[in-house]
This record gives sequence, structure tokens and C-alpha cells, in this order.
Amino acid sequence: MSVPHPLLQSILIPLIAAIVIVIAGKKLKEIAGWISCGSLIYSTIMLTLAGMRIWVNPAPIYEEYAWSELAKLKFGLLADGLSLPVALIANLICAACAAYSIPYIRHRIELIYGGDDWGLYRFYFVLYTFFAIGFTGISLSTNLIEMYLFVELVLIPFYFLMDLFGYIDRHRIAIMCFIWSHVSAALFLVGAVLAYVKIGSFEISSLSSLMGMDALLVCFFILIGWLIKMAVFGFHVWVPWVHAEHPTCIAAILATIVGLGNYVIVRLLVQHLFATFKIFSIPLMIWALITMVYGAFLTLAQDDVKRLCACSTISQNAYSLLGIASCTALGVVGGVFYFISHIIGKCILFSVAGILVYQTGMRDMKRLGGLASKMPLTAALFVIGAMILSAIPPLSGFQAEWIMFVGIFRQGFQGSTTGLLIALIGIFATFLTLIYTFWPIKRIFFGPLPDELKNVKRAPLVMTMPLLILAIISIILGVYPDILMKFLNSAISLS
Amino acid sequence: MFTPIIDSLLIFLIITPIIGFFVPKKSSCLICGAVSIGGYIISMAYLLYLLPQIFRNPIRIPAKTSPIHTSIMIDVPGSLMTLLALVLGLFAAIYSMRFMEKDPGTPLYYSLLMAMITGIIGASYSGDLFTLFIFWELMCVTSYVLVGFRKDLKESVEAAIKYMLMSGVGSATILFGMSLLYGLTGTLNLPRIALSLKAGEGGLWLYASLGMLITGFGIKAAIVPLHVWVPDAYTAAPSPISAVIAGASTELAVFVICKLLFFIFPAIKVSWMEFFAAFATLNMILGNIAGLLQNDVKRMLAYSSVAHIGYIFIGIAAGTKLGLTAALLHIFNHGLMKALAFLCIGAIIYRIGARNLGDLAGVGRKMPITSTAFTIAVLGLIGMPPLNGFISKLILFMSCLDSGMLWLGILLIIFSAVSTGYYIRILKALIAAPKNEKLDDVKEAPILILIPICCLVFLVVLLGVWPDPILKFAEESSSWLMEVGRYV
Repeated sequence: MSVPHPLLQSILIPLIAAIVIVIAGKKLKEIAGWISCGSLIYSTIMLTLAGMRIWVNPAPIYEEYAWSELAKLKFGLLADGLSLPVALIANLICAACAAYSIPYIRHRIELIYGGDDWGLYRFYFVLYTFFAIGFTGISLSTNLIEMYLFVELVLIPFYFLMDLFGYIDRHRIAIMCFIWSHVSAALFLVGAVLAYVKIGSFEISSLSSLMGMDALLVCFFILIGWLIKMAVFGFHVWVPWVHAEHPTCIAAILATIVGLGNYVIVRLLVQHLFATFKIFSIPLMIWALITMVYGAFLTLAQDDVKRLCACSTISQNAYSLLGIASCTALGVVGGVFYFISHIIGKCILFSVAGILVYQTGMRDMKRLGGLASKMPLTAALFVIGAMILSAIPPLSGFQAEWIMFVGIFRQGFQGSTTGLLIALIGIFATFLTLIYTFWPIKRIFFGPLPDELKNVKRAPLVMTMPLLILAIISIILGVYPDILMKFLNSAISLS
Repeated sequence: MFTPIIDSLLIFLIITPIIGFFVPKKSSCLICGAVSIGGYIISMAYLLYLLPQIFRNPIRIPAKTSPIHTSIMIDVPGSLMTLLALVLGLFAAIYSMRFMEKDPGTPLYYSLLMAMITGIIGASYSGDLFTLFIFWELMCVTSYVLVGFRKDLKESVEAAIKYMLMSGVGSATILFGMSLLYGLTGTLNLPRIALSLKAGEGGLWLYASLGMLITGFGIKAAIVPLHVWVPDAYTAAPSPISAVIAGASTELAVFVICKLLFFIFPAIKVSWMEFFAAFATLNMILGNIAGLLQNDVKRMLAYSSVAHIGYIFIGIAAGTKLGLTAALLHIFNHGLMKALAFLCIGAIIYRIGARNLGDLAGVGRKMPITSTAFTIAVLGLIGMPPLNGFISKLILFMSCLDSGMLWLGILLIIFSAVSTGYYIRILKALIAAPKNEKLDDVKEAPILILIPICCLVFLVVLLGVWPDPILKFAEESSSWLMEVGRYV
């Protein structure tokens, strides 16, 4: 089974779909959403095919296209055991959210602008498709500038979507978020160009020839750039705001944006600058630990469903960072696995929060309750999402977490006592997750049903079905983690 | 005469008002515009025809030069500037066919515009200081008139006078600097000056003349303490003129500074790097911070020009071949982007008659094509990939890391991020919900205004996705400027 240029297709087809939506105009109405969703499903299939090829024969798939020879830029796409799962899952989540947002965004436009504005509706899906392209691009890119290009490609739709379709304070928050993300991307660019000046190439694979002080500087800039995106403690200010004010379907994939930092750190630093990255190991672990605990308490303090999910992203992401920073093979593999599992879980949770807003018009948990009888499938999905995050078997979160903690403990036993202490505190911190994921379940779905919620109907299938598919994938990964582990193990080997 | 590139413009600038005299007043704007476009097209066609030849060897007119002979030297760096000027002049002319239709005296307007473009081309092709000064003055004098073209508006007359006074002082300073240089070397011919300066030491007078030349051209290039005319002139001029002044004539001043520095003064290369690094920093700081405070979009774009001149100076400060390539590339790319931005705001002014951010809210719904183009221009100015602004900023950044000025590179990145603060306010105004009732029956801009805008958008995107041709051009230009020996 060989499709020509599967990786290029997975980027190009959504791009063409976006252009088609622009040209076809307002007459498309809801079809615009289906075109976008269809193109994303198509690219998911392409990536799956590429994945099957790697499964059979573990050699990475590499495609290269000319960009600018004089500026020494190449447009390469690389699918190996590390980048492919990330691209595939991110794409799948985007496809699911595209289907989900077909009714949701129509409702949102009616609320903000009154009536059907199909021009805006179309605009939403054009921007949304660019989002998905950006994710695939970041995961598959082989040179730093190409990666920067896709990071910025995500940034612009991010701003517009927030400003046009977000909630109350959307204009101000959109600018705040844009500036944070731009600064982080700029720092990453500093690292990239610094590497270029020293080694004369933007290729990721040539990063390993950096030595000494240069390597340290490059590593530092790239790390800081992405840590801002990952909202570690100190840089986390923008996340709760941004997540809470974004339209839910975007907030659902925001965890992916925030989490991609994990992937990039593994891709650039762990794989190619491992010796230098090790220097940052202990400080990063402590930082991650602070973020975990802080994020968990921040989450517990929230009453707003969406802010709750947003704050939990901060602490969940820090788990992956802790795993990766432990610098052991299992820790890194587990960290990436946890990241993948977390974005699935977070997507489900956020989308359910969106369904609640869609059906009840409320976000305040104090006023919700007893909805399990009214919306059983939605309640079930929320429980599954919570289980993924709090690492309860048989969902993917559990497998990811134990693999990761084996890694972290191994580092702890080999290294200093600090390492061991971090591992112990880390594992206790995960208990906090249980509280902040299951307590809201009780508050939202059980207990007495308020009178004003008596007439709530079930959510439309277009919204719940994609989430169900994501939940099933998470269960499959949980029961049979080897699917993912085989890919990750083939790619991550620490020297 | 000189060369068909300049001659065709000169001929058409005489023909245009004559034709304008005979056609009815109502249609004179359209007809004269169409006639002047002919001049640009002939000139551009001839330039493209000559280009392969220019790449091999510069063409000298006249072929034999004496020490004080006027001469034109059609070389690669000049062609880069000429291409930019012709492209912008052509688009401004097409644009003006609708934009200026209500103003009286349009035949003269086209004629002046062509004279300004001729001045830019002549100055960038000049082979000696005398020719440089003549064409420079041609450009300056016509631009004063064009800035004050709407002579019944108070602000444009005020801006024109301010501009004229400052620029006049600048021209006098340039002339002083040139005469000092002549006194030192005994020739006006640029390659000969280069040779004779290489042979002997200049001493203090050389520094004095360099200082005068940089001050004089710096007024036009908006180096920071000398930038005060910029916001007024850009704002008061009709938009197509703002586009040409911001996109080509300010860039010409930077180009001439590059040419003088790398051509004439390589002897004192060491000391100018820090000097220009300081000016680059000043320009970036002032341009970007002042930009944040503006409410008038044209003023905002004017301050963004000041900041972008700072970015270009980074390339000069790097002082290497890569730096010069980056500076020339950014001159070209910034010219295109800034012209696009001015043409877009012009189209909006044409339709709604306002240019304050508050009044702009919701224009995006009513004028989707213009707003998309404006968005692309603004994103390009921020330096978003894959637009051309990104490529040139990237190479600027690479060049200053390459010559060991990490701090300057970091400043470039920081101020790029700061500048997003005001660029994004423009984007926000475009996509905001309409508040102004006046906007209800606003339509998309007319086709003659959209054609230049769409062409420029195409160029901005194309040169970002496929930068090779223009990068090659800039690289070749910088290697000509760096190796003066090739001219002799």
C-alpha cells in the first residue's frame, strides 16, 4: 500500500480545503464545516497509512521539497516513531473538534452577532483548518525555520478565532495571548538562528554538532521559548484566561498547543542535544513539580467549568515535563505518552464543558447539578475524560503515568537524593488530580437538579460522537499500550 | 540622452501634461494616468531586457569618463532600487487613476510623480556625485510639491513646508559634504574616489565629509533625531504618494548611505559599525514606542517606517556581505510591504473618509479584499512567515549574530514583538464589529484601486514563499558594492 507523498498530502489537502472554502463563498453554509472536517479526516487517514508503513518497517518516512536554496532553507517532512503519533493524534483531535464545532459555532455566532452570519461561519472554518495544518507541520518539520513557520501559522488563526468568537473579555485577552505567544516564538527563533550561526544549517538533525557554551545557549533559548508556551509556573498567567475566553472547540485543542512544547523539547533537545539538556534536568524537574502542585491548587479554586479545565492543563502538562526532564528513556517515552493521552482527555473534558454551555447556557458550577439523568452520554464522556487525566486504568492515562514514573524513579535511585525526593513528591501530587477531576463531576452531574435545568435536552450526536471516538481510542491505548510504545521506543534512545 | 530606462520616463513626463491640456477635464485623470503608465511599462521592459547584461558588467553612459563628467552607471545594486521604484511608481499611477479623480490638476500630478521616480532611478544609477546630487534634488523638489499637492488643506501645506525646510537643509549639507570630498580627491566619479581614498589617508576632513553626507541623507532616511518630518509628511500626502515616498524615496536615502559607506568609505569601516548599531537601536526604540501611541493609522505606519529603517541599519551595522545583502533585501521587501499598507489605508480613506482606528472598526466586513490585503501587509511588517518580511528579518538577524552582535539581534526580536502591539490594533480594528452607522453603505474599493493592491499582495506572498530570485539579486548587489575593484 503506497500512497504518493502521504505527509505532504496531509498538509496540502487541508490547505486546499481552506482555499476552496474561501472561494466557494457564503452559499456553502454548513457544508463549509463538513469540507474542513472531511479534509482533516483525509489527512488523518494519510498519516495512519504512513503509520502502518512505519509499523511494518521501522525506517522513518522522509519527504523533501525545495524552498529557498540561498537562505539554506529546505522544506522537509519527517515521520518517525516520535513525530508520527503526535501528528496523528493532534490531527484526529482537530478532525473531531471540527465536527463538534459545526453546530457549536453556529450557535456561538447567533449569540454574539445575532442571526446566521454565514460569512463569519466560513471564516471560522478557514482559520480552523490552518490551525490543524500548523499542528501537523510542527510535528513533521525537519528544520527549525520550518517549525517556526508552522508555530506562527497557528498563532494568527489563534488570535482571530479568539477575537471573533470568544467570550466576554475576548478582545483584550486575544492581544495578551498573541503577545505572549509571539514572545515565546521569538525566543525560539533566537535559539534557532544562534544554532544556524554556529553550525551553518537549520536542520534539526545537525543540532547535535553543537558544542559547549553554544549548545548551552541554544538549548536555553529554545527551552525558555517553549516553556512559555507550556505555561510552567511563572509563565502560566495567560493560560487560564486564554482557555476560558476561547470558544470551547478551540479551547479543546488548546491543550495540544500548550503540550506540543513537550514534543518539541524531546525532538530538539533530548534527541539531539541530550548532553546539554541533562544540565537542565534537576532545575526543570523542580520547576515542573512546583507547576504541578501550584496548578492543582489553582484548579481546585475554580468555579467556572472552563477555567477548571484550563487550570488543570497547567498541572497536567507539568507531568509530561517532569517525565521528560528526568532524562531517562522510560521517563521521556512516558512523558510523550502522557502528553498524547492528556490532549485526548482534555479535548473530551473541554468539549463536554462546551456542550454544557451549549445546552444550558451556564458555566458556573455552583448553579449546575444533577445533569447525569438528563444527559447520560455527556456525563459518561466527562467521567472518561476525568479518568484519563487522573490515570485510572484501563484508560491511556494510567499506562502513560506508570511508564513515566518508572523513569522518574529510576533517575531518582541512580541520582542524588533530590531526584528521589522529586519523584516521591511528584507521585503524591498526582493524587490531587483525582480531587480536581472528580469533585466537579459530583458538582455538575450529580446531586439535586436545579429547577431552571429541568428542560435540558441531550446534546446533538454531531457533538458527542467525535468525543466518543476519542474516548474509544484512549481505551484502546490504555488496554494495549504497545501500539504507541512500539513507535516511541523505536524513536527514543538515549545515549 | 541617458538610457531608455530614464529617457522613457522623461519623455512621458513631458507628454502627459500636454495630453492633459487637450482632453476634457472630466476624464483627464484617467487618460493622463493611462499615458503615464505607458512610460513606466516601457522603462520597466527595457530594464528587464538589460538585466542579464547588467549582471555581467555595469553599463557606463557615456562610455569614457573624465574626472568631472556626468555619468550614469547602470549596475546591479542600482537596478534593485530601480526595480522597486518602477514597480511602486506603476502601481501608484494605476491607483491614482481613481484615487485622484476629484482633485484638480491631475496631469501635473502624474508628471510630478514620474519626475520623482526618475529622480530615484537616476540617483540610484548615478556614477558620480554630481549626477547623484542632481537627481536627488529632482526627487526632493517634486516630493515637496506632491506632499503639499492638496494645497487647500492646512495640514498638507504645513507638512510640505516642514518637509521642505528640513530636507532643504539636508540637501545643502549633502552638497557641502560632496565638495569636501571633491577637494580631497579631485574627482567626482565614484569608483575613482574609491580608488584614490584607498591609496591615501583621508584624515579628519574625510570624517567631516562623511558626517555631512550621512546627516544630509539621514534627514531623508529618517534617522532618529532627524525623523520629525516623517509622520507629518506621510500623513498629509495623498496615499499613493505616501506609498511611493515611504516605499521608494526614503529607501533610496538608505540605499545611498549603503552605497557611500561601502563604496567610498571602506577605509574607516571599523568605526561606523558601532555608530550605526546605535542609530539602529534609537530608530527601533523611537519608531516602535511612538507607534504604540498613535491613533491615526497613517501616522502609525509612518512610525513603523522609522522602526524599519532601524532594522535596515542593523544590516549596515553588521558590516559584512551578509549584512549588506540583508539590508538591501529589507529595503526592497519593506518598500513593497509599506507601499501595500499605504495603498490599503488609502482605499479605506477613499471609501469612508476617515483614518482613525476608532472609525475603522468593522471595515473588514464591508471591504473584505482590501482588509485581507491590509492584514497581509501588516503581518508582513510584523515579520510573520511565510511573507517576505520574515525572510529579510531572518537574514538581518542572522547577519548580526554572524558579526558577533548578539545584543543587537535580541533587540531586533524584542522590538519586533513590541511592534506587534500596534500592528495588531490595526488588525483588531479591521475585524471588529461595525459601530459606525456611516459604514452601512460602504462598498469594496473600485477595481483600479484593487489591481495594484492585489499585485502587491501577490509579490509580498511570492517573495516570502519563494525568496530565491530577489535574494540572489540582493546578494549580487552586495557583492558588487563590496568589491569596488570590479567597477574599474
